[in-house]
Amino acid sequence: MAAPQTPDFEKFVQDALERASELEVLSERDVKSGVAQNLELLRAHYETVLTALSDGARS
Amino acid sequence: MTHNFASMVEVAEAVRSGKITAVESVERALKQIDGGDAKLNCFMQVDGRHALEAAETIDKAVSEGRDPGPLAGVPFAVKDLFDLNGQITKGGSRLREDAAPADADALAVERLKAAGAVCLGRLNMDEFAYGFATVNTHYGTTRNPHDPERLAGGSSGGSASAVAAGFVPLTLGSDTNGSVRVPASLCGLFGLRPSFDGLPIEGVFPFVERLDTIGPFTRTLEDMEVAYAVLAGAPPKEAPSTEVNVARLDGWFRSNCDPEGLVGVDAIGAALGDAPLVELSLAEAVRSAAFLITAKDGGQLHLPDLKTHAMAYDPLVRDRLIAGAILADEVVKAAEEMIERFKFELGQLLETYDVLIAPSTPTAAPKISDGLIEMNGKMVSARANLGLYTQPLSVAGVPILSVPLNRPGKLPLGVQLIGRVGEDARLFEVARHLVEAGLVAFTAPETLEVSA
Repeated sequence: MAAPQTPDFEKFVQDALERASELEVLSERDVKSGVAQNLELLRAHYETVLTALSDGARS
Repeated sequence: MTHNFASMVEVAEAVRSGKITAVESVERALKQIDGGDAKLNCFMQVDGRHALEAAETIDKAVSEGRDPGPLAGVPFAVKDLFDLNGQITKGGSRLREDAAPADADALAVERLKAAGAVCLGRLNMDEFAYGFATVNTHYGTTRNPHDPERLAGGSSGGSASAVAAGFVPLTLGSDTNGSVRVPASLCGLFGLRPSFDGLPIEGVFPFVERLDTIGPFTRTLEDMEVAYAVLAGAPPKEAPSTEVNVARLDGWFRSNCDPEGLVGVDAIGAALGDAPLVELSLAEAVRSAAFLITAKDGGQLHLPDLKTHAMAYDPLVRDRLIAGAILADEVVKAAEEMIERFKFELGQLLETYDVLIAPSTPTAAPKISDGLIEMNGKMVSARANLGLYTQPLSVAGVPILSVPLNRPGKLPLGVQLIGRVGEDARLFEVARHLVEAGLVAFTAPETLEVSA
């Protein structure tokens, strides 16, 4: 099985926030900051999943 | 204030035999809640009037010689995401304070009431079940009866704390990623995540529908078995009476764990025939996958309200839901693939072993004041991480019973018994052996005065 393509983790948070343009609440600085923190956490989980999938594909 | 720790079965027998009336049973519970809940904050709403009316109906049946049901006069309460006819299901959220009242009881509630149990009210939770702590910005933090300075766990923390405090012998919670098993562990109770679709979820406000289950909390195993039979509408399928092969989960499930928790797991493993250590190599990755699926599905469910009423949410939950809602589809796809691989790995292990065992939580109840637990040498949020050992297993649909280690004088810790889908009864059978061996038991909180 082919290993999944590695995404651009540097842009993970920025891309997600750009997708959320219809969420007006993100104009609130505290909310945007809290969401960005949570996206960082989710990015780390995504990386863990992709690494394991990639390891499985190689084995 | 004295607390009463009579079991559900004892209460029902007393009412059925006329030793006490259902009204007396309900009045006693209401009095205990009135005297003790200000300290613990288990209940969001107590409905004494309707409870006493229901109790009078039970007493009438008894006096007329009719069968009042197997749970006659047993007071119970439910997490605030179960529909109660005529009441608003808030899901622990201010956002739903003006929602339409439910037009029927949730099916699980309906079955308990039909068996003669009496509902006293609604219990506190993390908003929309998103958390392992029952820290709710709008409705307050639920405290642990074993030490009110500590967390009860979550998200069904009100449900666990109310049973551990002796207010009621039975409550209902929900378990998506561990929201029954985590508070059961921290409060020293039996708590069940049944086989997926094993107990009725109709009339329960959803969180992540592909993972959501309901589950009861009790202080005794016998109560758990009786509650299960009533909730399922039938007793569990008998487990085959063969020797049970048991293994302890290694790797992820032994890292970051309180050494006393591992001592408990090992004692249980020894009592069940020198259970070997076996590994689930994908446990960490599938926990991450569950995190991502939960964030995305939960976020998508709430997206319409997040667009229009985001500031009405608990800030602790709002930012997590928004972050999940805006995850890209490829993230979900990767998480789903990981879950499929994990199910295969777990399925292979369950072909060899009938029951697997693992700690329910990495630690006993953390202090409310810091709300942190240690993970890989770092202090991290208890709210997000107390489900370290429950979350990976939730994706597989298997039944899991959290049993309380018998450790009087110490803070409670639980152990997960994990079985094959549809074999919930085997978990009860194994737990019975552990109760008889004295390894597993509820201990009344030392902070409370217990009535005779």
